[in-house]
Amino acid sequence: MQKEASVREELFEKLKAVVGEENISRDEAVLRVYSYDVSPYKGQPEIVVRPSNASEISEIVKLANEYRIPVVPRGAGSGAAGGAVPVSGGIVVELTRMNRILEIDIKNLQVVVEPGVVHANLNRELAKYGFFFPVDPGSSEMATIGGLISNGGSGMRSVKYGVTRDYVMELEVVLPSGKIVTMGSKAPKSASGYDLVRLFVGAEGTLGIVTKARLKILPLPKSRALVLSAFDDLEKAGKAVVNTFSAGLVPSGIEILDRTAIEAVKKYNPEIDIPLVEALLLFEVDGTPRGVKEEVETIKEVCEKSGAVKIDVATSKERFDQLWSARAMVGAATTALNPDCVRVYEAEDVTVPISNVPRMLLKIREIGEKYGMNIVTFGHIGSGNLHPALVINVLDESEWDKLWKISEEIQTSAIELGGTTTGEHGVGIARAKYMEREHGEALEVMRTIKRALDPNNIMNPGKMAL
Amino acid sequence: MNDKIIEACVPEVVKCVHCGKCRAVCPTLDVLGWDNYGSRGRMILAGEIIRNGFDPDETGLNSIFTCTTCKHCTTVCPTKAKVPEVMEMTRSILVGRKKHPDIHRVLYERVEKLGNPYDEHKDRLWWIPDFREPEEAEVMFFVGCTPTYRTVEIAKSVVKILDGLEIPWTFVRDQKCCSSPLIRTGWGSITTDHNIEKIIETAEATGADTVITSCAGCYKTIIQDYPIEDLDIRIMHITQYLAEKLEKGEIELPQKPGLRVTFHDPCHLGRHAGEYDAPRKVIESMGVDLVEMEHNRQSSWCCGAGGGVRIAFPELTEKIATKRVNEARAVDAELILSACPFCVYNLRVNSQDIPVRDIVEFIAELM
Ligand SMILES: Cc1cc2nc3c(=O)[nH]c(=O)nc-3n(C[C@H](O)[C@H](O)[C@H](O)COP(=O)(O)OP(=O)(O)OC[C@H]3O[C@@H](n4cnc5c(N)ncnc54)[C@H](O)[C@@H]3O)c2cc1C
Ligand code: SF4
Ligand code: SF4
Repeated sequence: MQKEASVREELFEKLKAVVGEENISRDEAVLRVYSYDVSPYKGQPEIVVRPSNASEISEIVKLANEYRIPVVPRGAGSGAAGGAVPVSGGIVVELTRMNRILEIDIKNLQVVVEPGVVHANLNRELAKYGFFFPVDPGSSEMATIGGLISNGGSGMRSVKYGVTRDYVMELEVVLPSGKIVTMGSKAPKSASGYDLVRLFVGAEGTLGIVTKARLKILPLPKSRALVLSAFDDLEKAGKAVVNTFSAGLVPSGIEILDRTAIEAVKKYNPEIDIPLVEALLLFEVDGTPRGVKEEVETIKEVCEKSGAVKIDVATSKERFDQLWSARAMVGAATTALNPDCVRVYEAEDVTVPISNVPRMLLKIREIGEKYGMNIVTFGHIGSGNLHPALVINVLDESEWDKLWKISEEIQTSAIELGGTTTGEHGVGIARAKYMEREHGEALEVMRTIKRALDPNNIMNPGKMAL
Repeated sequence: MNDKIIEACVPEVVKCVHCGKCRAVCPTLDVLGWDNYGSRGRMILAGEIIRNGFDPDETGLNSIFTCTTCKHCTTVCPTKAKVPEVMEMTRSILVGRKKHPDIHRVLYERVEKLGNPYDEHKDRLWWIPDFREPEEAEVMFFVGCTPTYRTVEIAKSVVKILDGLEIPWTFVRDQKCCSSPLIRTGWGSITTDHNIEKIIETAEATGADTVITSCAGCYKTIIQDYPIEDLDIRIMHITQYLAEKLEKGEIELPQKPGLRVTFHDPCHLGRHAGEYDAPRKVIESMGVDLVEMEHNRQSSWCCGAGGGVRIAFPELTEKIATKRVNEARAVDAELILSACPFCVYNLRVNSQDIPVRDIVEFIAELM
């Protein structure tokens, strides 16, 4: 024990020499704060460091290897899977000091950023040039680019614009050995070598720490419009989405609010004018003003044919913002439904093939009824990604029992419907137990890669069932 | 005592789902970087202290006591978590355990002994020795400690404006500190009953039916922390009072056309009391060119002084205030206006080049 303590002291002093006194802490208060992310999981680190560059990180990782202590990268800690939670203790490496946009290269449609850049800040800067990084998570104001990359995140506009992995061209990574390597290419496309960039997108800090990223960017669309279609039947709404794609259209986003979500929004903000029906679809289209106009017309036609009971096109900015904010509000509104309850992020990211979305929605409702919980569901139907919001009184133990059961049933149903437990939030601890079912033999391949790169299992151990 | 506070605090603490949305707006996190110095970290620590038996170390205490109670976090929070209130409750619990910045105890003792937190022994009306209570008045002026002892120009300006506009006024008799510095720091109010009693007494003696104050902190405290529901007396910030008179066409304010001014929303007037328009109406009525800073109204950036932070952590306050002044510089403001003596005082000492005035000073100087 004595020896253990003096070894830890030695490690602390060495880390301090790397990052400086201001940027390291093992104060109990700090350790308790860095024990959480958005998920209900918790694990206390031994040390937190806030490095400012890749070489510091390299030194930190080398020391961790020498002392065989876990390293847990952390961005904003807005992840919902427990990815940044140090379940095995160790050193939390918080990357928020590395928040510089290093290069905006409009000619080549790319930017180079440090991992701690907050998503919204990147887009605010790019907007000055008329450009944007199209991935748009609901957590834009807090999520870091490093976190988005590592969780393989995406957002409401992924139908047309794709997900984070479609935009990462090149990464600088500190490997578990401490080696700093650059992977990928500056060229718009490359067929050279294994696609290591894609391996690191979604690796959740288990293979190394991202210290720099070159991202693709696009010009901001000139025009946007929103079509709101109301359906008295979930299946019809699902069909409308399929029919839209069949008509050759790719809206930037298609969002769904089921009755529970509409009720929640109306209760949260009665001024929001949306019909109370079984399902609302929000189609967002963008592009040139002419293209947008045409697409709006086609969507209207498709929805009418698919049995929409009401269609509303938002042309004014006010109406557009109101409707889009209705969607953005659902997550928050769920908590407002009952003042004693809050949302627990569990089973919140199930994703199924698009044609199975209506079935998944019905299934969630059924599970809710079985356990007597009003589960508000909303999500990116255009990409099959649903966000059921489980809301409980967290001070009541029996509600937690119920929550775990519901979570299990929802996630199992998603897998049974040919889907996955996570479309964009990642696996972390929350969904580790489903890895085997979702990946079968492929999980062993992942483990082999993990062992090869991180033989001492220091990088974010305990995550992703690796 | 503590049990009761804990009971009230727990349901508020668990409202924080740790989403981190507040990271973008917390002025102390912005300066200090560590998550424990931001809203989410503070909510986690409050939970650890209240629910998990955490006996906070120095860093823990500093985390809880560096919150300026600016409420910026609550305005962006998806669950509207009441962070400032939780901080006040947690501070009360810590004060009960004798764990707090020493200087906050000193403030308490000064208010208890002298009725003000500034260790001033002077009479509160030292700056207006000729004052005699009139037989009749329309409004009662609650001056507050900062204008009385630190920014007396503000107190004098209010008087000049009221006289200039021929509004019959008096002082709330024998006033004491509103207790805002004590409540925010977890020490609770010790002057509420006294001040309410004096307000009633003055109203009965002079017929005045409105209390006005130029201090955003006093204003918030009286309307939100004093049990005044049954009081048949209006409590108004002076900008509200003037805006109302302007709207009714009863008064006109002096003009300063062409001057490029910006307005700093005091947290206690804006986010806490929901008043953003009245000060702007007053400013705009003066013909100036009002430009907004990057952060304004609901998203106004705190000046860094509130919540007992200025006295306990002056370097932190200075850094936050400097950021705010830089925002004014970024919009080329020639003058920063605010509506709170504490904000004005704090921004003024941290602004090298741009002058800072309270709205009432600005009006009075032109009268
Ligand atoms: C209200 C709300 C809405 C959300 N909406 C969306 C959404 O629309 N789309 C979406 O995709 N997600 C969403 N999320 C989830 C979350 O915001 C994302 O997963 C986000 O990308 C996490 O970023 P972060 O900086 O907070 O990362 P963290 O939570 O700090 O970390 C996430 C994971 O990445 C690892 N990591 C972090 N930085 C690095 C790095 N530099 N190198 C290596 N590993 C690293 C961590 O170890 C962890 O495993 C939402 C969350 C909330 C609370
Ligand atoms: S205070 Fe609100 S915004 Fe901040 S982490 Fe908690 S829930 Fe999120
Ligand atoms: S009230 Fe202000 S200082 Fe306090 S936690 Fe919230 S944003 Fe930070």
